[in-house]
Amino acid sequence: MMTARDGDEMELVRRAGLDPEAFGELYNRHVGRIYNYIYYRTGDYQDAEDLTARVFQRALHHVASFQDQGVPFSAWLYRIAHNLVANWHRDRSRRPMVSLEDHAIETGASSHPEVLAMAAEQNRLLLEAVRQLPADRQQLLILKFVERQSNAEIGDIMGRTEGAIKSLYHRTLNALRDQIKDSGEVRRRG
Amino acid sequence: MELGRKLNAKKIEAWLERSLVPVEPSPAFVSELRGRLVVLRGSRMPSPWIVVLVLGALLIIIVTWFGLGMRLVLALLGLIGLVERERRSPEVLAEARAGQK
Repeated sequence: MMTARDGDEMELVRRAGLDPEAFGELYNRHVGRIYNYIYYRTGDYQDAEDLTARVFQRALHHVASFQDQGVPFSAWLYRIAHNLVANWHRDRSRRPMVSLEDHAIETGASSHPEVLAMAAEQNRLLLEAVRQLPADRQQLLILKFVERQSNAEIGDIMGRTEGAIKSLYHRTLNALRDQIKDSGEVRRRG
Repeated sequence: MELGRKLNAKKIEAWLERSLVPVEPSPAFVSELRGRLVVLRGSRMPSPWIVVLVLGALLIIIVTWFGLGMRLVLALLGLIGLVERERRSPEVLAEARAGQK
């Protein structure tokens, strides 16, 4: 169902091709979430900034040809971001660098160095496991936990039904558990 | 590692809740990018035709100013020549008269 905000957003999208301020408003609304999505997919601040800039430059160049097919504008931006991140991984053909310990430390409940170090290590392990998942599952987790979107909203963005998202979510948790167990086994052997 | 053991969906969800937290892009980055997108409309590379046009216009302006400069220099030299000739002409006449005598 289209909300007033969606209608307002589509009006902005229609104007954005010609009116820089309209595009600026769309940018203000979405830059944070696109940055978060890319940040968690790449694990690097610099790359997240670079790719976020490219997402919005590409969006600016093509916004005039955007067609309203009942899909939120954010879904279109996520698709651009998804493609750019996929190219980024392909171009580098390497595992992304993990530099996410900073916020793990910030979110830790204790300030004891040993506890912080353990929390950072757990965080790193989890994020490594998340990045081993297929792109759509990573997107689902980012939308659910970082963006706090409901299953219905995630379905709109990812072009799936709410039921399909629920099912994908459970499969994702199972895959993540197996991944973590495997990496735990490897570490124990190592 | 203990993490791999006794993991169930609830624990993984709690773990994800703690780890996947929103991060803020730096305000400098956000405002700089907004400026590039909104003020400069993407700051993309200009098309080759625009580059050719701008270079052509620059060349014409340079040649015009160079021509104007050359004319000014020549006019100045001509003026100096005239003044010098005027200054010398009485002396030349006197010399010519002396020669006739």
